[in-house]
Amino acid sequence: MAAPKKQPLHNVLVVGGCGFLGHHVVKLLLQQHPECNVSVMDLHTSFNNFPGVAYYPGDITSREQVDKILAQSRPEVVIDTVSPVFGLGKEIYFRVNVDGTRTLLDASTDKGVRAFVYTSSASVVFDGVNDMRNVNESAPIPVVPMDAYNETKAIGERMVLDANRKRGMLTVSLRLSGLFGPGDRQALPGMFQALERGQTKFQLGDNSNLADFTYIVNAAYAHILAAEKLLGMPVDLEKASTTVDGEAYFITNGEPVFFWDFVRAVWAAKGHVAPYTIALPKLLSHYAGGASELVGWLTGKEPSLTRMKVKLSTCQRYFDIRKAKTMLGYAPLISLHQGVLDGVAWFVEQEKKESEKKEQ
Amino acid sequence: MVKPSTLLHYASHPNQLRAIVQWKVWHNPLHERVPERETVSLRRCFEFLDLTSRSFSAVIQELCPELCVSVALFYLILRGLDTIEDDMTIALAEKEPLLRSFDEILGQEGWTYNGNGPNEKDRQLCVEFNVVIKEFSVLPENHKAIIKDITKKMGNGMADYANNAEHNVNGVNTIADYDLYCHYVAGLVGEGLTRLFVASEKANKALLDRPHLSNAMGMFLQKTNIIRDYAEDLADGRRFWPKEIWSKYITNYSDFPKPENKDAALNCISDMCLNALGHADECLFYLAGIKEQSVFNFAAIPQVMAIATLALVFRNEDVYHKNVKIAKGEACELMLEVGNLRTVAAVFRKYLKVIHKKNTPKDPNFLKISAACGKVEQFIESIFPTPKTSEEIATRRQLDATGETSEEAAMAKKEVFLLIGALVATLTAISALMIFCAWLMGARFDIAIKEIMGGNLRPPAPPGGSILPGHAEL
Repeated sequence: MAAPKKQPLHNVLVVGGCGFLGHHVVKLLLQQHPECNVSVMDLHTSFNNFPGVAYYPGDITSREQVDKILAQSRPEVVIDTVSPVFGLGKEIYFRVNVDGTRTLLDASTDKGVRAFVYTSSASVVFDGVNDMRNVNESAPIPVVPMDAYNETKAIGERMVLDANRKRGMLTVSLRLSGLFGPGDRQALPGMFQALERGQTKFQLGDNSNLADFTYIVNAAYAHILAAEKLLGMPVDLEKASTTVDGEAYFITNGEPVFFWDFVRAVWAAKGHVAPYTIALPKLLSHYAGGASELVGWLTGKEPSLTRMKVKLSTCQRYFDIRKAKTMLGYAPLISLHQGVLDGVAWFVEQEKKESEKKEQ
Repeated sequence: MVKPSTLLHYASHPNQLRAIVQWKVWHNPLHERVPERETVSLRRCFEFLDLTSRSFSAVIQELCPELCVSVALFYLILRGLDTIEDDMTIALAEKEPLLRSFDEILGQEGWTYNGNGPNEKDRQLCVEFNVVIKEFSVLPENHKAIIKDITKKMGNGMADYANNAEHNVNGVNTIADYDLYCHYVAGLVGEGLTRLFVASEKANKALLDRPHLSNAMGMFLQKTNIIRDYAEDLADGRRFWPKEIWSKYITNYSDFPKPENKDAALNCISDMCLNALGHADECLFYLAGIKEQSVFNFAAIPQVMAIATLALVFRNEDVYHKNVKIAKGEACELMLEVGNLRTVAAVFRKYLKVIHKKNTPKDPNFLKISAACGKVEQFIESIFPTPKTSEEIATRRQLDATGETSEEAAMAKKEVFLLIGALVATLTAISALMIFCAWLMGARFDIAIKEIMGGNLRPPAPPGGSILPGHAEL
């Protein structure tokens, strides 16, 4: 049997295409679909650029700007990877994740875009309290959201899925968990910071909790697969349990590991292994997080430990990704082990470049 | 004589000592052979089973009657094949045709073989192989066909290896070779047993459509043994660890025991264990397909022993110096813990924890090992989800406390009510019968009731004045 012919992509607009995830989507698109015209819309387009890609600076909360860019790039696929970083104010999340998504979605529907792929977060099903063991897409969105980020991501996702098949546009939402890799501004840098501060001997909880991480290239790959699947669908196919559109999918590396093992693997890839470990019991860690928040509030500095950070590093948080595997044909391109090595190597390389620059 | 080190071990592990006592005193086999009803040759076969297999003999003999003899003979036949393959004193020209035609030999009444060297430990089995053939001939036809087929495949596989000069000098080369070798010597056994189980309706037919599961059962056991037996095999001049793995850590296979290679040696064991661990979730999946208790025990006991052994050998440098074995008490504990898939999964979890604890970031496979443990954990979670609602939690608590599900508990409650009901009904019926008999014989219940209603609870005085009428006459 011959391998099924790959669905060509002709014109793709990656929104947020200069960000961490977005630029990996662009990079992989260029590799996997040389036939494709890739355009990028982002708030700032001066970094993470690739040759041959059209860059359009613009704000997704402005319908006028979005319309203009859609008219110029004329995409058949829109991949919306926009995501404000962790720890911003509630209004920003609502403005970007809700208003921005609405604007982009409406404009895309009006312009006759055929496929819309939305980047969501696996945490949309997390209530901030209960463990998430082997969770799949049947899990409900919690009534009380964990935080503004996930609240707004869940709203955005609902809008995207509700817009499915409106005037012919097909949509999916990808719920990513624990992204890390080259260009990462949160996961790996946070772990390096702990390493610099000499905090590697400490462990919160007993490390019996599994966590799902996703190497950024795999996450980018899932977006491309989703775009291919949506475009490849026959136009008049009725919605059924086997059609991929209008659905949310969890995307991870499919290799849950014990949380602190991942952190230690990152440190080890940087050449550091702690001589011993002091494990703080879960409850004590929780109070320590609270105390740290209080000190932070009193002194006006950002605390290095918060109760939410404690929660995220001590709770079970892993997903069942069989739906993405069967429906999208997703399988990670790069193993978690290799991802850690590649990701850390990239940062080491960057540091070297920085220090060379300084010497000159 | 008990060694002082053994005494010390049990002094610090009283639970294991208790397990030994419990197993010896209380263990009731599900099924027992009745040697008096067996033919002389069958009894001889079971004697051979005791002699040739330390670990399997007991579990085979407790198998249900439909399978006990077939599995025992299957074991002896493969043992015979193995005894010929193993023996380096037999010339290849003689050995190869024997291995390739061993399935046909099974049909030759009276066939025996005394070509084994004097030091081959199971030599006597081949010398008296006619008893095995005799009993094999009276097995059910479908069982015979399965055993013959596997014998043929394994014999040919072994012959290929015996013929392969490179293999004999350098041992196993690539991981693919390693998998193939383990498939021939163990995965095929898994296949054969599964077909026997399904043929006697003791296992789900679906297992036949998933041959990788029965293969995994054999692979997991075989690979664990191969790791454990490094020292013993090397002393015999054999190398089963694939070069593709060990050459990452050392240039000379026999240099692992040297103290200066300690780190490399430990990392290599990790790599080997990681390879074996990849089969663990499939073993649990397989066990979910077994429908009968004695077959479940037969299949599960070696698996729990294997995961315990794997946890013991993981990053344990003793593997390079001696034969590392789990303590007898631990083995008894494990056999007591095997009951159903849930308890087996709990045992797997327990030993995965041991492996996870010994895992270190210094190991180049650190994260892969963590992921391998996570994979099994996730699989167990998928078949036995951790309860989330309070109702589920209560059910689980009930289950953990009494070993019953809530349906079983409700059933037990119903049975108690029925029992009490039956008791009351019986007593009522007997009372009614006694009253009826009394009435037949003339009892005046009407008067009795009237007297009682009238408040007179004493029996009436007998007629006549004196109570002792004859006294005066004396």
